[in-house]
Amino acid sequence: MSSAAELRFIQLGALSLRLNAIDVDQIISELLTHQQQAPDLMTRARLVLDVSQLGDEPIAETDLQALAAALNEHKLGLVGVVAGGQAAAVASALRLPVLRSVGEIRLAAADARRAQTTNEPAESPAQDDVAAPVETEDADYRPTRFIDRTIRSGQQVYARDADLVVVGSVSPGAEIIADGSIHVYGTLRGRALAGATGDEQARVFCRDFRAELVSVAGHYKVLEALPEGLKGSAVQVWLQDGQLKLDPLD
Amino acid sequence: MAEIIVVTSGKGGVGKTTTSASIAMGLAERGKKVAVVDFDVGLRNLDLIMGCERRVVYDFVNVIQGECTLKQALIKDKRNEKLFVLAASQTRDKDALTPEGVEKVLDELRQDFDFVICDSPAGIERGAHLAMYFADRAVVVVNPEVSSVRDSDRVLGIMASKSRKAERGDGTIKEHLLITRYSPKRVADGDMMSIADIEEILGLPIIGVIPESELVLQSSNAGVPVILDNQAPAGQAYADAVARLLGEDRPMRFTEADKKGLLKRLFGS
Repeated sequence: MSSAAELRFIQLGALSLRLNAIDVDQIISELLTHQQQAPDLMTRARLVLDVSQLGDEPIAETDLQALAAALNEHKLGLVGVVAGGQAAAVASALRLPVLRSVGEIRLAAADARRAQTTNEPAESPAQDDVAAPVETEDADYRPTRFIDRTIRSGQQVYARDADLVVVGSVSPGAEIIADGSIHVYGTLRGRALAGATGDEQARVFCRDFRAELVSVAGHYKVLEALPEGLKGSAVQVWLQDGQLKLDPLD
Repeated sequence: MAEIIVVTSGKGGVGKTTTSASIAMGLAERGKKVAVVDFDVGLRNLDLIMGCERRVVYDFVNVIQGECTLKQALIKDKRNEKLFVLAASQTRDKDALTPEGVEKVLDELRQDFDFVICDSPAGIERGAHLAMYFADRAVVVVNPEVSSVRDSDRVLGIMASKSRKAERGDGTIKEHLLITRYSPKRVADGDMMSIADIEEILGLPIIGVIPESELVLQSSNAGVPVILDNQAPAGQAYADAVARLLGEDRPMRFTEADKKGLLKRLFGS
């Protein structure tokens, strides 16, 4: 018999906002710059506050309230606080849950497994922790989106939560977007944006590179002139240390 | 049941109406019963190029609004009795075209004709959309220049997603490319996009290449579709395109720059 409800671990498209200082005006102006550079990414963004870099100095509640209000005003909603540092105090001030980052969850899962093998009860997570220890293989699986035709000027294709494979070509002025990676087996003449919700592991692959713009997780490059050595070649685009890399595949 | 062929391009001034007139005439010359419909309401031109502008009594919009019968509005060509023209209205605007009205007229035309040629206005607005919406096939007219190729690409994209066939999931419009105003010499000099360039970007089979010629303008002004000039390269190229539309396999002509001999160079061609 199938169960009425399933508990599954999913990765949500939230961005972590790591604070190095509490300077509301500066934070907002920096975020607006990001928003201009990657409007697709930022307009749908939900932020998780990371205060682990702020040290032990108590954070004034008024500063936190001011920051939350300013973010709200720019339609960047805070949905939680990343565990670490003064997370618990900040979370209770802002009435937000404390969330564990995926890395910690993996550790927790490993602990749980170890605990099971040694027959010791696993330590129960703190009350305000939302994360459940589940292995990543169980994460939601979305099938790759396939497009078998040419994507023409003015058309836009978005593969939500999935990879995108285009067997045809992408015309100049067309735009293909995926939350995962993008593969183009024809000629890529338009724009290709991989990792649209912030997946920095996403890549763009194409067989005949003539793109106008490529982007991974909001890091983009406008190719006003196609670099020699890439034009017409099979090319891979990925992100390394926050830098967008474009290299021929062969 | 007639086949509906839309002649479209996105960009203006590339030769849609000239092409509509010549394809319609060419099909009629080959014994098909053809109606050619001007969708450019407000800027009618087809009747001029067909040479029947002084015989327009009722137009497309009159038929849609029930002010006359389709039979009354169809103008029989004086040169070919199998060819009929349905003119656009000069006095109305494109809002007078309604999807239901266009569908009704095209359905009625389908009963009596072998081919219905829809001469689309430029752009991607209402008139152009309705001209392509009910089509079975499309001839996309493109000039060998980047803006025209880009606009054609856009139109092909709209056709793939917003035609009746696409909306009903009933197959796709069969697409053909027709290159007009092609000058092999300028291509050879590197001033113009080549057939291969265009074909590569648009990824469609080419149904014809019409060479640039002053004769095209002359015959348009005279109200004679250029296909009737069977001496002119442009006329012959249109005849080839019509044959290919009917499924014949013909080699491309007039696509290479001719190497003029000394005498020709001295005395002109």
